[in-house]
Amino acid sequence: MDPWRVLGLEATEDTRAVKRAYARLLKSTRPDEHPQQFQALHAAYKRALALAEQRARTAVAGDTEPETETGEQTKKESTAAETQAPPLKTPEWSAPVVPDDPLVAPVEPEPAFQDQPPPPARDPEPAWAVARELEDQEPEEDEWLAASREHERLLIQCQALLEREGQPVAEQEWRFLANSSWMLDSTFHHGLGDALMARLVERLRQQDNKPPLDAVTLGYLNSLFDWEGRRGLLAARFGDTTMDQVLAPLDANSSGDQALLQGLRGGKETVPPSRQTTAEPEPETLYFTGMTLRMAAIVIDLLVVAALLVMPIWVVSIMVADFNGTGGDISIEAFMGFFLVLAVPAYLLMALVMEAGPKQATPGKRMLGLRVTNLEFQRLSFLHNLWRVMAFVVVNALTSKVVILVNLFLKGNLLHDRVSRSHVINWARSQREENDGQ
Amino acid sequence: MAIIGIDLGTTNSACGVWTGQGVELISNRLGDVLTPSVVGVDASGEIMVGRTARQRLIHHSDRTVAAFKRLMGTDHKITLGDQRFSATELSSLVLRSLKEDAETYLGEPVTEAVISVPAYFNDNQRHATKQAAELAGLTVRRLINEPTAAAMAYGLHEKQEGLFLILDLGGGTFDVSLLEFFDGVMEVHASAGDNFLGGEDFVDAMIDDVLAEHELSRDALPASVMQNLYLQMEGAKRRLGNAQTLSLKLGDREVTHEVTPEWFARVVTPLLLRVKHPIERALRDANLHPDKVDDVVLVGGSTRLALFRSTVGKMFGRLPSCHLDPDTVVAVGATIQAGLLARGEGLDDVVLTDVCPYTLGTGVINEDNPRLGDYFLPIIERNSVVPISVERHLSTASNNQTKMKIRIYQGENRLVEKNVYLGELSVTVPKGPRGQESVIVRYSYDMNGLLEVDVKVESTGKTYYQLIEHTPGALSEDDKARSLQRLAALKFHPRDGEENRALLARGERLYESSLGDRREFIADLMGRFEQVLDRQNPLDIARVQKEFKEALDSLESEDWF
Ligand SMILES: Nc1ncnc2c1ncn2[C@@H]1O[C@H](COP(=O)(O)OP(=O)(O)OP(=O)(O)O)[C@@H](O)[C@H]1O
Ligand SMILES: [Mg+2]
Repeated sequence: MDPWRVLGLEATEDTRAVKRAYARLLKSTRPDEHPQQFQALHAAYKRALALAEQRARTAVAGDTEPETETGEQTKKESTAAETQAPPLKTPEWSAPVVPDDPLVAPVEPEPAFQDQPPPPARDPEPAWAVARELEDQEPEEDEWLAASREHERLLIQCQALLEREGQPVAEQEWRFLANSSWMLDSTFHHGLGDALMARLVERLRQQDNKPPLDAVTLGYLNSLFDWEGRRGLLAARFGDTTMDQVLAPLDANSSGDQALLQGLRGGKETVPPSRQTTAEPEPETLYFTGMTLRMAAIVIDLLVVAALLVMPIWVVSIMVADFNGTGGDISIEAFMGFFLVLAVPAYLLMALVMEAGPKQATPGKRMLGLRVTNLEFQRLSFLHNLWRVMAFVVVNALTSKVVILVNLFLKGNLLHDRVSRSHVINWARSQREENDGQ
Repeated sequence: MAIIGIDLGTTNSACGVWTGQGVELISNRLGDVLTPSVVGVDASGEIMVGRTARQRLIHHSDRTVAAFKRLMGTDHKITLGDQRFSATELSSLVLRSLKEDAETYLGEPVTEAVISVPAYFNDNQRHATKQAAELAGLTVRRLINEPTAAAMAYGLHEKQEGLFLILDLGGGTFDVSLLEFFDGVMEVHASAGDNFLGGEDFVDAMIDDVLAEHELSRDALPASVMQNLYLQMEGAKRRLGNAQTLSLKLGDREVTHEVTPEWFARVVTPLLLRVKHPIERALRDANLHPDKVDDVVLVGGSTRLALFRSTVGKMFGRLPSCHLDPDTVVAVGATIQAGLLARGEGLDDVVLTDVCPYTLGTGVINEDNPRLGDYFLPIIERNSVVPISVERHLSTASNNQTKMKIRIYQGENRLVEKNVYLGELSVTVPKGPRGQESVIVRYSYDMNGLLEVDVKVESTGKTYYQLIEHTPGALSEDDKARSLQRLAALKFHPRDGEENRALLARGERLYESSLGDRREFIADLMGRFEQVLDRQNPLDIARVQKEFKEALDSLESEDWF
């Protein structure tokens, strides 16, 4: 939309007029009362302001070119407006979206000190030249020289620490940096931070990409030089991957809960937060269970059932034998017969109860890290599981050989699973893959 | 009914009310505008808040707590005597005390408030603040960012147009806001900050240096020794101008320590460097050169430090200005906002626009380098003007995925895990090849700095609203009801007689930290004062109270306390 129309103005180079128009409209489009109109008004205001500034510039430059709306400023503004204006049309991949680093467009002057001593011609004006006004009048040249000498001195010390062999370097040994009174000077501070980073990158290369500093030291230096905050700028110079490698220990570092508590005054003891271990996090990708594992689970289950049933069957067999008058001796055939008659129903009963239970698995499935779920990946209700068990019996009893053959090609979503609208998920694998992914 | 404005600070709190002519700051029961954010429980289990509690911080440190604002939005609990409190509950006790003072002052019930929070407070901390108010019986009409509040106070006071940088260095937090005023508009261009940087950290740095010099660790010293050390260092920090020699008791050792401006500068340089980072970032975000800033305004008690002023002075090439009382300017601003909400007289043509100080987004799969973990996908970019609502399309990342989990984060790191986790939302999507199903995620950020998220599955049209699970520090409805009940059962020191209790607490502190004759003298004074209190003759009490106070003043070394 044309920003000028929204503001009710003719295109102008007078930023004051733009502000006045915006202020007038804002009084009737308060952000808390008309949020949407306000966003539109604000976007138009920002854009009109940029256009006006651009016009003013071209006018000053005496440029007779007709105003185009494609100046650098304008482009920047319009992308900003787009990101604010919902909705975005094109669907985006959830896959790698590297956010634009807003830090890539810095306003601050280039660090004055790179690895080389500074060039004699200075432009832009260094901050310590400004500081002069506040402090004693000192010749500029001296000030400049003193700064670069200090810069060199500190860097040499850093280099020595970085290259020291044998005895590891403790974090405290870096404290000398903060003791330099120059550190509070912006240009000096950034120059030194960047130069030290250049040394670290060099070190990284020499050591086959091993991070040159441990987490504690890096954390301390980062608190001095804000490398993390300036990551965008540094990445532009040294490359994204390199920065990742140098700063890797920081990324691995956990948050400072300790620092949090240190700030507290008084209070008898601070009971650490009870880590809320409600439901374990669910993996995002779930895997079905292959035939091998499924069969293995059944075998384990049958063994469990057998172990549980041996005693009762034996007792029953003896009783039956007694009754038949065979004098207490039981034949192995009778024993096996009873076993089969009892074991299969026992297995089914166990499946029925346990798969709908809190563990969602029979003992065999549980040992192998499997879980039975419905299509929403939730626990089955008892009735649903009854349906599942019946499906299992019917499907497998009818055409057992064919079924096994067919099942081999179903990638773990077997016939009776399909019939009963349930899944057997390989939870252990799903979790493993999830963790590996992180 | 009036809406009050409250500055709920790490060290001090204050409140005020808009009267049509301007802001009226409300004095508390002791006649002070500032109420120390300190909560204590006495031997009989009664709660006290403010100066009386602060006097007890040293010798009853197991029953008194300060600086708990830092724990807002976390699950930490603090034990005072035999009771346990969360930071939210402790804050609610301070708010309750302010509310009572306001009710007494106004002579009517107060149920609504504008409360200021550090601009850089995250969503969890903001929710915790809101809940603290609810526990104290206050409805939050608006959470206002502290530097924005300060800027409003400044803008209305100075009636000056231009671009201002507000720096608020308080007890526990540092906030930066870049503001422009023109034609009754107060536009915040950018905010940045550090939630763990304030006057308390300077004191911690001093203590750490002293302990390191004597090869002691914090854990090795009893709590009361530590508290005494805090007190001495706090005093030394405030008197930095003149060189001082402190004699410190470190357990069984007695040492002397020279406090000079040079020593202080050396010890706090790392902290001062951290002050610079948010300032640089705010300017970078607003795409502005420091030269464009018309004035730098200092807010917060810690900006009284000369070293801080000169550091800022160097950055901007001029001395910063501070015409307003740095201790109360935030409360004044919050009160102005309260006046605005009530459409108070004299505020018709002022409009404030604010920004969201941090980036809000979600995690997306990192295929470049899965080992590093997921990437952070920004949805609302930091320093977007609010209220704002942004939609993003996200699609399934693997084949036959049936569930999408939208995790909500806040922060600036490229890796999602390093940002602040705010909660999550799970939605069910129909099965299909990867990338086929997509959802529209909408983040809405309101004027209070609170975030709402809803997710719509495109193919089914089903919409899910935010049901944040396990947010740190948040209370469920049940928790809140329980907490309300518990707090309602607490007994408070009655309002009257607070002056006497504060004096006795102070006398007790002086007694405990003195020796020999001085100690006996104080005991004697206190005995006499208590006798008069027992007789309950108001005239006598008033007279003796004055004498007692003067006697204590003459003994006091820490006059700021
Ligand atoms: N003269 C002084 N010199 C140095 N520091 C001071 C001085 N006076 C107060 N302070 C410091 O100011 C801090 C308190 O400031 P303030 O009351 O603005 O904080 P707050 O508003 O409670 O905290 P926050 O805004 O961080 O939540 C304390 O840490 C105190 O040490
Ligand atoms: Mg404050």
